[in-house]
Amino acid sequence: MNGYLKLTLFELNRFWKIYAALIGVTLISQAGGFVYHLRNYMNSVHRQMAVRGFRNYSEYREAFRGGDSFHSFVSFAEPWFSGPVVLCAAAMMVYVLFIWYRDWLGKNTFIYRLLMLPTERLNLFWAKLTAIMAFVLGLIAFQIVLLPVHLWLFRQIIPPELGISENIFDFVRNHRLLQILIPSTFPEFLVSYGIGLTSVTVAFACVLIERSFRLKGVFGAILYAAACGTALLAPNFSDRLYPLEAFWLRLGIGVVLLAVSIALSWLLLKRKITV
Amino acid sequence: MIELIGVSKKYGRKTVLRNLSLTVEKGHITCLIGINGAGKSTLLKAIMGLTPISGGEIRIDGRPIDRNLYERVAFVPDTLAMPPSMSVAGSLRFMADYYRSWNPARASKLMDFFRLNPSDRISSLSKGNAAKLNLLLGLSLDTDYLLMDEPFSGIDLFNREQIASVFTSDLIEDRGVLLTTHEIADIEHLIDKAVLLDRGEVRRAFWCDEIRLNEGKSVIDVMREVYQA
Repeated sequence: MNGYLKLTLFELNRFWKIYAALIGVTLISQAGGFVYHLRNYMNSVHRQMAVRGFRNYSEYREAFRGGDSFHSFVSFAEPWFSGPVVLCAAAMMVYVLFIWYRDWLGKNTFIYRLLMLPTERLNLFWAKLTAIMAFVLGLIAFQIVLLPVHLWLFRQIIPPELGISENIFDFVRNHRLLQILIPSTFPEFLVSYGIGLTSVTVAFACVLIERSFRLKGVFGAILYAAACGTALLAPNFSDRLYPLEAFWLRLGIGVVLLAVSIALSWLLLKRKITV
Repeated sequence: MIELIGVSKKYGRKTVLRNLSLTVEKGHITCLIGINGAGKSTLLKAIMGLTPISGGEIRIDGRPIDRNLYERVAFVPDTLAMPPSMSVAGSLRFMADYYRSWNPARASKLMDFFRLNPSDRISSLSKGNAAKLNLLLGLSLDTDYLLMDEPFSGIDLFNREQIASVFTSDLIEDRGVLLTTHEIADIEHLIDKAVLLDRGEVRRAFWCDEIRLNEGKSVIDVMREVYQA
């Protein structure tokens, strides 16, 4: 197995406990919060049925023809649903920096060993980048897998006689976090995950600038990050561009920043990095 | 042979190594001696490509530093460079995974010699055992050269003796060893060549046997002459 694959597996292994905890928290919070709110809803349905003397759910449905849907039930449980998504996103943002700094910090400076491995140093960069992207995509995949689970829970608790819409696609399209995380078209996927990938490589380059030049590097990293951020956002400030032109411009800028950040990181790892 | 030719290193405006030249020969133990801040650790890191040099040239067997260097030169830093959550056995597996020059039979022999427990976590190792594992990881690579940064620092007497015994064993034979130490008295009889550093410059380099035979002086005597002059 080559150095890159070994290092990637190593990076994946190093984070698995925290990663498993994030997945566990997401499952428990979303499923638990959802079930709790569905049960509350059913309790209120039963109370209303008892008060009004309804004999079945169909009568209740006739009396309360509300606009309830799968989406609105998740909305009731919003903090339980979006909370872990935000937590996972925040954890990944922190880990983008910590995946490097953990090798420098502490009593055992592991970066000595990593930099002395008989493999291209850029493999360290690729391995960490692959691990971050795999973690992010894994969390998204888990979220996608959880949606049918939520739908199953919904069907277990809410009787079909209540006639509540189960359209899961409407839910994904209308949820403000999920519509970013799960793009519905390929260009949207390219933009969302392209920006994500570019941002991670820019962050990696910033860490390596700081690790190479220390105090001066802090200023250098801030300047580099600000320049990249401005470049990425620049198309948003122009009202002379058609949407398609803005899309291609944003994609082009993203590709250039990606290439520059990778080249800069390679140069720093090869020639400037200091332990 | 490791050759340093006119090597300079600056951290900002501070010059840490100043036009420094020296050689480390195979089959000999060379000791870098100097007070804190003399540039000893920086010199070892520069040889290993762990910090860039500002000027000069470093060659290993006539070739400049490249990634293949790490199969030919082992470095034992002054800290155990393995993640604290890893077990001792895990750190050996890690080395075996990445280095073609890893010698598992020698690693196993050293595990017995140092009485290290494979299931211990690195974070739970005493300072002495961490130093022994650190040394084991360096010695178990079949390399031509071995660099060691303060291998005796902060280690108690018995552990120091055990580590020092490695220097007279076949584990070191035929290799070129470059080490830094403050505890020169403990290993004076083991070293072949001493290089006295002061503020990034080589003040004196000499073969210990020659100075003993020709001038009747110990390394410490020469150190007194150089540093207290």
